[in-house]
Amino acid sequence: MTESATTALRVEGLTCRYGSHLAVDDVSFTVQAGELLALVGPSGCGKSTLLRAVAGLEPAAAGRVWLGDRDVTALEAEQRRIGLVFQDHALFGHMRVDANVAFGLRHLPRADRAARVDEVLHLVRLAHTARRYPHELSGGEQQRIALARALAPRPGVVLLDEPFASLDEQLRDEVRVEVAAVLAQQGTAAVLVTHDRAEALTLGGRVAVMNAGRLAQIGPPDEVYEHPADAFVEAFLATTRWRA
Amino acid sequence: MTVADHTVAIRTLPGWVAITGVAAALAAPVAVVMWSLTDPDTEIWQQLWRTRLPGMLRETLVLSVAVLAGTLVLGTALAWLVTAYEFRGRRVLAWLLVTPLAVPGYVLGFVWLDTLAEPMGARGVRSIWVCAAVLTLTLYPYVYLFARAAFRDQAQAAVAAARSLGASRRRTFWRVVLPAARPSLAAGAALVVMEVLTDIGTVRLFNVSTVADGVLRVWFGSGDRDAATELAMVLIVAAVGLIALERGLRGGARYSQHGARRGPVTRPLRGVGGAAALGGASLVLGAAVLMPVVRLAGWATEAHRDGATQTVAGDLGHHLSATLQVAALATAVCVGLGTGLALAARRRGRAGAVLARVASLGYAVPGPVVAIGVVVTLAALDRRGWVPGGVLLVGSLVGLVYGLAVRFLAVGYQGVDAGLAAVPAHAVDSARTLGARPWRVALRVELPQARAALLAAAALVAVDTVKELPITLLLRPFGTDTLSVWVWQATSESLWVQAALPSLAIVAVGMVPVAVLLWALERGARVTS
Repeated sequence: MTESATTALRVEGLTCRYGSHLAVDDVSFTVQAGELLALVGPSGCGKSTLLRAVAGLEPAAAGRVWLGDRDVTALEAEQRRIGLVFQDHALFGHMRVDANVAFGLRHLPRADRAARVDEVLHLVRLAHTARRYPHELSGGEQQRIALARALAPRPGVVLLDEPFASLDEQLRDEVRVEVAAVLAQQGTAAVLVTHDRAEALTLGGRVAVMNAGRLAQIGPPDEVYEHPADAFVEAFLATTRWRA
Repeated sequence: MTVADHTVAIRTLPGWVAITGVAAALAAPVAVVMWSLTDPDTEIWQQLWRTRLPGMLRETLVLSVAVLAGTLVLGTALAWLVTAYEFRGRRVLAWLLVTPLAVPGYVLGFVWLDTLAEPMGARGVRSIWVCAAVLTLTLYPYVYLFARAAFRDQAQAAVAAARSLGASRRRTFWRVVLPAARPSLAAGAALVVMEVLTDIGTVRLFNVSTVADGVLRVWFGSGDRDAATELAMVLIVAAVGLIALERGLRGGARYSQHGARRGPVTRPLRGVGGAAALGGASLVLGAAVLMPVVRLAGWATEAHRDGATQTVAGDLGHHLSATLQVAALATAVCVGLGTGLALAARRRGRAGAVLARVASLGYAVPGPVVAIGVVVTLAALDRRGWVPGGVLLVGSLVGLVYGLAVRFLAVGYQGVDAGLAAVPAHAVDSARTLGARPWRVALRVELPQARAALLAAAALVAVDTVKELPITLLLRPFGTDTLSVWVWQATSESLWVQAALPSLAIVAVGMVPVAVLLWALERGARVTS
């Protein structure tokens, strides 16, 4: 395969079980370097579980995960080098912003660490907040810091779990555009989980629609929107006002 | 099992060995006593049934029920008063009402014994009801702390909804507030009954023959360790039954409430109402703390004048340093092991939780029983000569701290666990995806965010060990006489004047962890998870 050279993340046959319930059922997909894949589906469809399993936070019953050409299936979350951004941003409340961002940079010498912190804080245009505590920032700023923290160790892929859901509507558009721009600028592969159809179709280079633990369809936004693979995808996207 | 599963299993093996080892070591003394149930000595039991056991069971039951009722009413009422109403002095009072925690029952007991001897007669004052009143005054803070936390956590919305549906303040309390606080009240009440089952100092003062007292009398009196052990079994059964009851009371309902946790809107109490609130609460404080401290101070001055301020073992400094040494060691061990256990258990799912529960078993077991179990366990080790250099564990400081750890580990574990439960799960996940190994996640993310809870746990263990009597009495090394042992020796000969100085010292020392506890609670530490 010619494309494998630029594949950042490859997931094959990933399956997660809660007891007898299949939360994630034999899911396979790839994300190319620099690409943003939007994973969309109704709540409870298993998209967050899928994300956590890719990150190594949820045990997988079957399947494999590759980061580049590295098989990370057997690795713990802390060994995978996969960045993660949560809806509630999950910043460490007892640490200042710069300490939060530096948390994943322990392998670097002190000077390099400071330089990288400065770099990613500039990237999200929040360098002036370095010495503040998270609670002193606005919701949008906290989310951008969470992104900076996830990007700092140069992860192979960044996973974003409903990163804009906790922001109010006005702020949401602003942060959305900014986050997409930062990811593009860094050339980092990303998977964005959302239940917001318009968000998925707008931001995603490709869109994956999930239903009841399975991937119903994956492809470019207009293809998925105009040629839904099945009745579920059609019904799910039908109510979306996108590109009027 | 895949290759990956095997590597995970090997990586986590040291943790498993450590947590299982700690759990086994702490459960061993309890297991040893329980083992005797599998081979009951019928002769001993017949003897016990014919003579003292029925009376002991009756007095234990009556005392437990009386103290339970007293602490529930007093603790709940005071907690509601300081959370639902606003009156002059409320904030200070809310804090001060916890301070009786620093006054041991056996101290409050002899002060009241002497004070009431005049009006009630020397014989009349030694009654189970006065004993119950004294224990209520020292133990109600448990219920008060739990109830206050529950009332404060009560979602404002639920109370507002009840009021808007036309419920009066009183009806809201009985139908909405109190039922929602039931699990917290049950947890506090369980602690109270456990303390009553364990008490030996207070009941001895009032000639109440409980089972715990019986264990001690049989052990020391007839020197019949087998009979004492068999009797101890009764207490374990009672304690286990109590825990089951508490679990049952929690029931299947979900009690955690969503919404703003600002507590009920306080209603101002002015004039007569405010004066009555302040007066009532002050009365409790006066009887539980102020009056005893004043009387103890008077006696202590008298003792000082008579030159009776030391024992054969040494002066106040000697006993004080013994107390501080034992309390510091026990607190460090309980909080340290409790933290390790809580962290390990959280990473190991159901099996980890079960192991933590096994290690906490000793908390459900009264002090005299723990002491017996520890002696039997350590004596077995000593006989096999496992400790090099012919050092004996029985009667050593190690043995005493071990006994206190068996009994109080659960206090440390539960406090830390409650703190860890409050750390957002996503913060832990984030730390892991940023490459932090489990120990770094613990040191840099989990424990710093749970530091108030850690402090609260340490404070509770410290105040418990400072007051502790049966384990200290039975396991102390020769020469390590803590303040509580001094009080015990003086009061068992009715020498109130001589018991005053060490009693005062216990209260003073105990106030430090109580202050720390209050500070930690203000900083967001929680008494329940």
